[in-house]
Amino acid sequence: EWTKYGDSAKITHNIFAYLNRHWIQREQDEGSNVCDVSTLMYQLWRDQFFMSIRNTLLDSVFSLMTRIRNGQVADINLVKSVADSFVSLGNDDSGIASKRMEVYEKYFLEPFIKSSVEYYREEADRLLQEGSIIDYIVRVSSRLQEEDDRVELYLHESSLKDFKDALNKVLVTRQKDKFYSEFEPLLDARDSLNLKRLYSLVARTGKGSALDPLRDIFSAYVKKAGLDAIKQVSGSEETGGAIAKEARLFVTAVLGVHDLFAGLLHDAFEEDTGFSKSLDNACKDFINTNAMCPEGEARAPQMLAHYCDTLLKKGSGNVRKAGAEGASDEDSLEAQLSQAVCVFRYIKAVDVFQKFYSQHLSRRLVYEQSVSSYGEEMMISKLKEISGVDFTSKLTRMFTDMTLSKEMSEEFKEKCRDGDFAIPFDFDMKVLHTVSWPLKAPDTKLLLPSELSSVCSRFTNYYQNKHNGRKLNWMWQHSKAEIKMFFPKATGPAAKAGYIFHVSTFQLAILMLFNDESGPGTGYDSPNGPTLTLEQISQATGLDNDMIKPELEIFCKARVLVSSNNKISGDSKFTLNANFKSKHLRINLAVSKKVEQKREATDTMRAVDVDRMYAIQAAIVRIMKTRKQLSHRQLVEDTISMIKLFQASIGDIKKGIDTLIDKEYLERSESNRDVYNYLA
Amino acid sequence: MTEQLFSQYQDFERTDGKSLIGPEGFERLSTDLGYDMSQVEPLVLMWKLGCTEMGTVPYENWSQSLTSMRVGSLDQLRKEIDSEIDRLKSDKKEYQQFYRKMFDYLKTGKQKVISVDDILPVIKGADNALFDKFVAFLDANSERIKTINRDQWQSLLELSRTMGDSLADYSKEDAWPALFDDFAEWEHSQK
Repeated sequence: EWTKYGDSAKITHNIFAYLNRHWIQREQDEGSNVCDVSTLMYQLWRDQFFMSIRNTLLDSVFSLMTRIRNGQVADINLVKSVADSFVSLGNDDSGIASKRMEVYEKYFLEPFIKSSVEYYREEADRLLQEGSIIDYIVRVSSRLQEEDDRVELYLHESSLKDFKDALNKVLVTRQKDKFYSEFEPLLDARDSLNLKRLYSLVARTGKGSALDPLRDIFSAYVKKAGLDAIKQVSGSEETGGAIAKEARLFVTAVLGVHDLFAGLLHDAFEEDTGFSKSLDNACKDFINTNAMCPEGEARAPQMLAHYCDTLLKKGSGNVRKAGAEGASDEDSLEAQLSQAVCVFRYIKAVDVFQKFYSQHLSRRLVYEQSVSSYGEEMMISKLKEISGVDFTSKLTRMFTDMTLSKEMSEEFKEKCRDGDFAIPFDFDMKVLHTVSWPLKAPDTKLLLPSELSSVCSRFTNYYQNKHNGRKLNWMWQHSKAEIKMFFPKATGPAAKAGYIFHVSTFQLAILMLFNDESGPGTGYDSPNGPTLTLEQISQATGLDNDMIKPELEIFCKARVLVSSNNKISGDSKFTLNANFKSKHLRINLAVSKKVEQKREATDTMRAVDVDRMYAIQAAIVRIMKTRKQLSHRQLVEDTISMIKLFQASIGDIKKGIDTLIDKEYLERSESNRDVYNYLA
Repeated sequence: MTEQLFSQYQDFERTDGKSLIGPEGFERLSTDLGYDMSQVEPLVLMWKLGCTEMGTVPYENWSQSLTSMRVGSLDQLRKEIDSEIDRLKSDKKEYQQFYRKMFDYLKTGKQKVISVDDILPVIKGADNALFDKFVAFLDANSERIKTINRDQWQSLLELSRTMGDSLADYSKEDAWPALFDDFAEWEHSQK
C-alpha cells in the first residue's frame, strides 16, 4: 500500500512540478513555511494516517522478525520497506538533516532494538540454563553472525552501530565474567577453535579494556607454563652434567612453550597486539628467572650462548631435525639459529650473552671448529638486527683477523722458502687483534723445544718488520699441535705410520723431552728414551708443577707415559710406554678439563661485572656532564634508563656514584645533600 | 710573647721563615696545657692553631691564630681551647667545620682515606649514639672494611643529624654512600 502511495505521491509531485518549480521555490527562498508537493504529501500521510497505525505496524514488523530469527520463512524485504518509509516520513520541510531521521529513530529504531534485545535476552538465559558456557559461546557466535549478515537488509545504515552495540550488551557483556572464567580451562585444553570464538565475542565489545582481563590471564598462564616446563627439565639433569646438554634442554623447553603460545596467538587471538605484548612479558619473566636460572646469576644468557655454540661448532653432537622435504642443511641451521635469536630477544642481561658468545666464537675460530662459515655470518647478521653494530663489529673483526692471518701465513711461508729456511713442520699461525678478542695473554712462561722456537722467533721478526711498533704475544695456552709418535714396540700400521696425537703446546713441550734425540741432558738411559722426574720436566720446560701434574695424569691415563711408582709425585720417574697400543691411530689428548671450563665461566662473569662497573660510571658521567646538577633519585633513574645492555641495580649505581665522588668527578651539594654537582 | 712561646716548642731554628712546630713539639705543648693525647682536646687545639697536618703548626698560622684568639700565654690558650670545646657542644655549624677538618688530621700524607683504626678513638669520644653504633659496625666488619674516605666521613655526621639515634628511617633509595646501606642492614639485624 505504502509503495502505491509513494508512487502516486511521485506522480502528483510531477504534475505539480510547474507549481513546485516556480511558486514554491520562490516561497522557500523567501523563507516561508511552504514545502513542495511531494513533501506535503508525505506530511499528510504521516499526520493523518501513520500516527494512528504505527503501533500495529511495529508489532507486525516484530513478529516478522521473530519468525525470521526462528528460522522460519518470511519476507525480509517488507521490513526494509517499512524502515525506509519511516525514514522518508522524516523528511521535513525545514530540510534539516538531523531531524530527518527523527521519525525513524524515535518510532522505529528504538522499539526495534528493544524488541530484538528482548528476544535475545530470552534466548541467552535459556541457553545458559540448558547448556555449558561453550555451547553458549558457539550458539551466540553464530547468532551474532546471522544478525551481522542480515542487518543491512532491514535497517538503515546509520543504525548499524547502535543495533550491534545493543546486541553485544545483552549477549556478551552480561556474561563476561563467565567468559573470563572459562578462558583458562580453554587454554588448558589448547582449544584454539573455541578460544577464537571467545576472543571474537569479547572483542565485539571493544578491543581495549574488555579484553584486558583475558590478556592478564593469558600472561600469567604463559609464565606459569614456562616455569613449569623448565622445572620439569631441570629435574631430569643431574647437577654438574654437561653444560651443553643442559643448555639444549633449557632452550628446547623455552622454545616449546613459546611456540605453543605464539601459535595460539596466531590461531585464536588474531595476532592481537595486546596479547602479543602479554606473551612477550610472560616470556621475559620466565626465561630469565626459573628453576634453572636463579635470580641475579644470569644463567639464561650463558646457556643460550652455549646453545648457539653447539649449533655452530663441529662435532658438538647437534642433531638437526629432518627438515621439510628439500630443506637443505643450511636451511635447517638457519631455522635453528632463528629460534635461538627468538629466545635472545627476551634475555635481560644482554651483556652476559655477548661476552659468552664472543668467547665461544673466538674458540671456534682459533681451533677452526666452525661447522659452516655461512652459518656464522648468518648468526652475526641476525644479532646485528637486534643488537646494533657495537657488539657485532667486534665479532666481525675476529673474522677479518682470520682472513688476514691466512694471507700472512702464506706470505711468511713464501719468505721462508725464498730465504732458504725450511720450516721443519707444518706451521700455521693466527694473529689476533687484542682489543677485539676476549682471549688473554698467557700468564705462564714456556721454554719451547728448539724446533719450535726457531720458527716462532723467525715469525715474530717477520711480523714486527712488517708492522713496526706492534708487539706479538704468543698464546701457548690456545695453541695446539699434532705430533706423530713412533713407539719402539709398536706393531702393524702403527709401526710404520706412527700414532698421531693431538696435543696442547704445553703437552708438546713435555712430550718432546722424551724424544731420544733431545733428552734434557741426562742422555737416555733406556731403549725407551729418557727417564725424567717432575723436577727435570719443570726445569726443562719452565712450567711449574701445578701445570705439569695434570698433563702427566692425562699421559699416564692414556698409557702414553708410565710412572715408576704409579702416581704423580716428586719422586716418580716417567718414561715412554714402549708397549703403547691403541685401536685408533689418531688420539686427542688436548681435552679441556671441566674444572677449567667452570673457572672460565666464573672468570667471564667477573669480567662482566667489571665492564658493568665501568658502564655505570660512564653513564653517570655522561648524564652529569649534560645536566650539571641532579638529584639523587633522578640520577639513578636516568642511569637505569640509559643503560640498555643490562639492568643496573640501585646498589651498583650507588657504588658508581661513590667512586666518582672519590675521583672528584662529582660532589655532593653543600646546600642539599640529595643533589650532586658535576665537577668539570 | 707569641714568638717566645713558639720558640719553646718549635722543631728547630730555620732561617728561611718556614719554622714550624712539629708533632713532637706539639705533644709537649699539649701536655703542658694539661691535655691527654688520647682525648679530643689536642685535636681542637690543632684546629684552633690552624694546623696543616696532624700536630704541625707553621709559624705564620701560629701567630695569626694566637692573635685572633687574643692569647698571649699558655693559660690564656688553655682557657680559649676549653671554651671552644664547650662551644662545639652546642654550635652545630662550628662542630661541622671542626669535624670535617679532623679528616685532614687523621689521614696520613697523600692518602685520600683514613684507616679505620685511626678513626675509632675519635668517634668513640664524640658522645653520639649513632657514632657508637657505627663503631660497633666497623668492629664487626673489620675484616672487610679497612678505610673510610672523605665522603663517608662527612656523610656520617649528616647521617647522625638526620637519623638521630637509630636507622629505622633509613632508605637505600636515598643519597647515602653505599657503605651506609651495609651499616643500615647490619643495624636492623641487630634488633
